[in-house]
Amino acid sequence: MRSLILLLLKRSSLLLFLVMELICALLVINYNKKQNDIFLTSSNFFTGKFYSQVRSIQGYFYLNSIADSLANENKQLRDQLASSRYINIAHQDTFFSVRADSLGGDSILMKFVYTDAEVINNSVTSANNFFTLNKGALHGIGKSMGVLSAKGAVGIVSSVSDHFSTVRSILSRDIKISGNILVDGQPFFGSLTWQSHDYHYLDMDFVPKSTKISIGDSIVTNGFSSVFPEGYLIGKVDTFYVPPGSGYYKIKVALAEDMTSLKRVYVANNLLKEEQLKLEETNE
Amino acid sequence: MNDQLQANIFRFVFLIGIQLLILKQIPIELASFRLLIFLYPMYILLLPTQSPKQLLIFLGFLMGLTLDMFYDSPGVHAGALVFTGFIRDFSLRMFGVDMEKVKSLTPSRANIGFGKFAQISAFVLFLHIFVYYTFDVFTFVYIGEILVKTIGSFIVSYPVFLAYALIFNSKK
Repeated sequence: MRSLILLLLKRSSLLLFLVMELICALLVINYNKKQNDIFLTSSNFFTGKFYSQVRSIQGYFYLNSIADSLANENKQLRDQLASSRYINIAHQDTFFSVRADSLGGDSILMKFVYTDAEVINNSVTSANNFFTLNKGALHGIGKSMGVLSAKGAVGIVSSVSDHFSTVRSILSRDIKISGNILVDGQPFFGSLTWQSHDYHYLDMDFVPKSTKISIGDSIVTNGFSSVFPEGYLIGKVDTFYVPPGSGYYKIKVALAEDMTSLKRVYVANNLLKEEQLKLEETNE
Repeated sequence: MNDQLQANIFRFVFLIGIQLLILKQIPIELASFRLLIFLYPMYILLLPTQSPKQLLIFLGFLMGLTLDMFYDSPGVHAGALVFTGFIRDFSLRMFGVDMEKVKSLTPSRANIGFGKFAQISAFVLFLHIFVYYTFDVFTFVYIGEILVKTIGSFIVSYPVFLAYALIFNSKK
């Protein structure tokens, strides 16, 4: 032991090297698990400020495309206004269909409220990708809220400071989203992960092979996890096959959103989330 | 000596600036992987030859963490750059740089010649990128992906590396 210590002291640079590499490895591992140290992420004040400056200059180059996408989105929102609401009455009569906007007063509760934000830093190069938003806790953004773009679900908030927040992109090896595949309008449940490390695609598992899926079928969020509101597009079926000996499809999903050019996003705050989680906990 | 300190502090900030403001914004793609362009390892490579190894490692860690903050990848750039700091002196010697002759100077193109500099930077840069992607993916299960990304990134980074050396030719 003594001679080992002496050896290490004599070669202190080797020791320092090993210690530093160990620290780095711990940082890599811990960041993927805990996600609560914000000082090392771009949601800290210093880096956040830097990126909002850079972004404000770049912003001018994208004004046209941003205006287009906003106009497009407004049109969609007009069609959909009722869908973010939770209808608080029991459906007792199947002949009686309820339009959410035809109800007044207490029978309508907000389920999701949205905060718009701008993406000021984005990456698709790593095995775990993040992007930074120019809004934070002071604007009502909190951890594990879902993030949507005009074209679909794009990530989950991982850490928040007062003015900025970091979002774990759906292009991350640790992320798992539950989604529905719509076969002739009929939803089938499945689970989405990023195994391919190709930023155009996600991989979908656990769709039983008895389902008759076809190329081009849409995959939407299903709201099971309380992170995303229901019915937002994630992508479309690109290719699929059944691995030998398996009862489930392996589906390659082409993402609806081009993850490299995210600009405006909406953070969805589920007001009924705690109630749902509490209830689900009592069942476990 | 003081001049040298100043030059190195300036290079630290300057290289991080180029990395974040220019190189980070350039989208490069190979086999549907988005690739990074690496220039910042130049900093470690150009530290004065008499710098103690511990300093090389420590500065590597410091610069790596700074970049990690901006890239949202704690530990990944730092891990790679610590490694680069560790092998810097070894690589200089391996390519036959006379450490006595360039004593207390930076091993830049001006001081060791372009040929040697190009060889050393190829060696250091390639290893740096390989370690970077290894830390990033953090499992050798994806060794194929690591290699593809390493080779791709190297091909796009190396010309940038050489261009930097041709434009900025510090003697300090």
